[in-house]
Amino acid sequence: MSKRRATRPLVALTAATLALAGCGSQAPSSGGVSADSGSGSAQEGANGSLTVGLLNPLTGPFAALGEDVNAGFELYLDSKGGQLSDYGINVVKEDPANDPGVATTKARQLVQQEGAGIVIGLVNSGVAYAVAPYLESAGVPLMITVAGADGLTRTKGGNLFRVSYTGSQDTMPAGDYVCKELGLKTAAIVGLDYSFGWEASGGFARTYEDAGCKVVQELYAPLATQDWAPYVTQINRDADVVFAVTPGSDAVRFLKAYRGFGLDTPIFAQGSTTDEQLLPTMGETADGVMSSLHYSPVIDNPANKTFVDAWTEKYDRSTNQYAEDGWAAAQALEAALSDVKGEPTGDGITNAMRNVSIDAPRGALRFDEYGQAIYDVYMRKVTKQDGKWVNKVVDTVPAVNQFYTYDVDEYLQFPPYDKLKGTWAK
Amino acid sequence: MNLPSPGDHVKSRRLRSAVVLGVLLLVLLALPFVLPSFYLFVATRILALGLFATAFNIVFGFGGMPSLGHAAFFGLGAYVVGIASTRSDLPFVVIVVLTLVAGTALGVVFGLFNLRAKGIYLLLLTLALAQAAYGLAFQQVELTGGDNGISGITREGVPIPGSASAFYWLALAMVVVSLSLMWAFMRSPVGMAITGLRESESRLAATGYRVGSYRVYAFAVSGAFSAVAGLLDAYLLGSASPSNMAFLLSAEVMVFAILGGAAFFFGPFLGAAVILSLELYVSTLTSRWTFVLGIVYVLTALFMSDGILGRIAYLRRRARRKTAESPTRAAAGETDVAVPADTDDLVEERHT
Repeated sequence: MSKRRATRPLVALTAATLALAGCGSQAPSSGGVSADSGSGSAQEGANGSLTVGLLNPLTGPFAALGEDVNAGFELYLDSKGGQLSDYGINVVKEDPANDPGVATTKARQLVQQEGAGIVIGLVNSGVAYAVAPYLESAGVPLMITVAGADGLTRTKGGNLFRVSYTGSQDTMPAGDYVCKELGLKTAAIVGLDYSFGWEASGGFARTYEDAGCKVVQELYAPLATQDWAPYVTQINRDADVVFAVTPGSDAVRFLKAYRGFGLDTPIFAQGSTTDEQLLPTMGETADGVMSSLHYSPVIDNPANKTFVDAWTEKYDRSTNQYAEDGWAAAQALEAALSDVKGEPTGDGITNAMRNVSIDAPRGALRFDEYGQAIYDVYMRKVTKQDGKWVNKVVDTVPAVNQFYTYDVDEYLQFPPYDKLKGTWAK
Repeated sequence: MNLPSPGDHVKSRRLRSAVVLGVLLLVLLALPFVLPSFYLFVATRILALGLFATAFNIVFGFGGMPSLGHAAFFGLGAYVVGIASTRSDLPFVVIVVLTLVAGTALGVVFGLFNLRAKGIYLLLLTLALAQAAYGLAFQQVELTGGDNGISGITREGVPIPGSASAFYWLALAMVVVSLSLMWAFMRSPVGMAITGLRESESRLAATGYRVGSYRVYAFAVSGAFSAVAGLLDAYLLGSASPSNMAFLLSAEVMVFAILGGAAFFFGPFLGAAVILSLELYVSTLTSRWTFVLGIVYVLTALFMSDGILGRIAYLRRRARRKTAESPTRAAAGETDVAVPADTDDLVEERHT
């Protein structure tokens, strides 16, 4: 090997790395993945400015969710000319990479290097649990936009807020509704075997049984189950309804197997199972599936019309709960900032956030004393409308909080849902 | 030609290595005074993962056993901290001892399962064992918190709990002690025998060594220090989760070792530092950062399979040879095969 040949790979490696690193670089000195809007020069409003750290996954299994949350947030910001309540908003995006270690590092980077005054995002609950204590200690408010673990919003007066659902919040009204309104007296539960699956199933089972109906079976499948046949064929055919908590790509495979085996028991699902990101893929197999969620793109109110119009103009596809979570987070921040006088400090934003009450696309939204959003929950049914599959709203349960109709102290005494998993059908 | 005697050469080499290490240590000790707190956090993380990579390399680079399950040890250490510090008020020293014991025990289990497996079979067996550990962490919700993990790990029991600098120094001290112990271990008769596993297991067996037991030793020691790395990481992040045990981490630590130079004691540590820094830097620039890292990995595998240190050692050898080049040597036809004895102590290739 000559010397030239020996050094060439090294040079190639270095050059390639630098070139590729350079590709994505827009403003290396300012750091952060630059926002679509207002990148470059810092936004300065009449009241001052605020740096918002968007900590949503841009890679990995939750990238599609994270990107929609970011897009929703930035869309609202754009519609307000890059300012919220006369504060210039500088958006810095970082990728938690679905890993608590990376996410904790990125949260610190946002706060300590980029000077973020608030962090918005998080999809994976495990990541949220890891990141929240640091932000608490740093005095920086955290607004969660997807991560659903019940336990995240169980401390009063903290700096954590969540515009999205807790695992059981959207399914508790469903238990009541399916038992009393639909009159389906026995249910088989099919859920994914992890915290969210247990919490969503548990919320449904609790109110369903308290309303006098009976869970007759519980099946839990691992995340990303490729072959749903063994689970689908086990489903008790005597049950009046199948309650499904199979978000993500599992929903597509579950429904395909369900229809493939010719089961005709009606399905009621946690709303993420029939998410608008999935509906075009699921098509016919989702026909008639009912679900409960705090949002549907076909809600008829002025705020949703504004949102849907802005979104479809830019992205040419349906809105969904994640995009709405991002949009609503921006609205909530705007409302909070309108209450902040002068410099937007962590405490200032946190205190203002507690009193926020907005008309989001989903409807009225405010926070309880634990920081969890209170909102209307919609009972929806997948229907074809103008050639497109949509989650048509058939009923509304107003102002649902994370404890539903239960007394807070009583509810907090209940064993956690991971312990109750498997006990509902007994 | 006036050549120095071999003794002088060795002495000056040792002296130079000692000076380099001493300066490096001083620089590392001084970091908290110059680095902003975020970079100090990153530096502490590099220390923890660098220790992990070095421990991994006992099995991988020295023992020649491609383990794809080392995250199990790292995660075990993290969970020992998570469980012990949130449910008991055991002193720090006891938690460290517990971690060492747990890591060693799991290492013995790994070793026993892999008494005979080699190459791809060892890779699969270790992967399967680690996936089993991952499954336990994911499913035993009562103990591990399931997919939500254990959060809120405080450093209350740790000496001088409050300050980030103090924790950095503690981590640095633990890493330096751990690396020294591993260095000494690899030069002990047992360590030599482990290197022998890689060189020729059959010859080792023929000379009367019980090769199986050396595999167990390698996994046990590697497991113990990997668990300590997990302990440091858990204290640093304040959380432990199944991703500490995930396949991705097992693969990543292998990349650390290969990129830095698996044939060298300090190669994996360097690899960890380079990749973590690159990851942080590139992911700040672009959301397509995984793409960039992927390219780096591919290029490393294609052009730099002996790692950064391997490349440096090679270039150095070339330079040295060039100065001492004589017509007879050129005629004899020089080879580019790695010549271990001719390298600096710091980048020592084989423990001869």
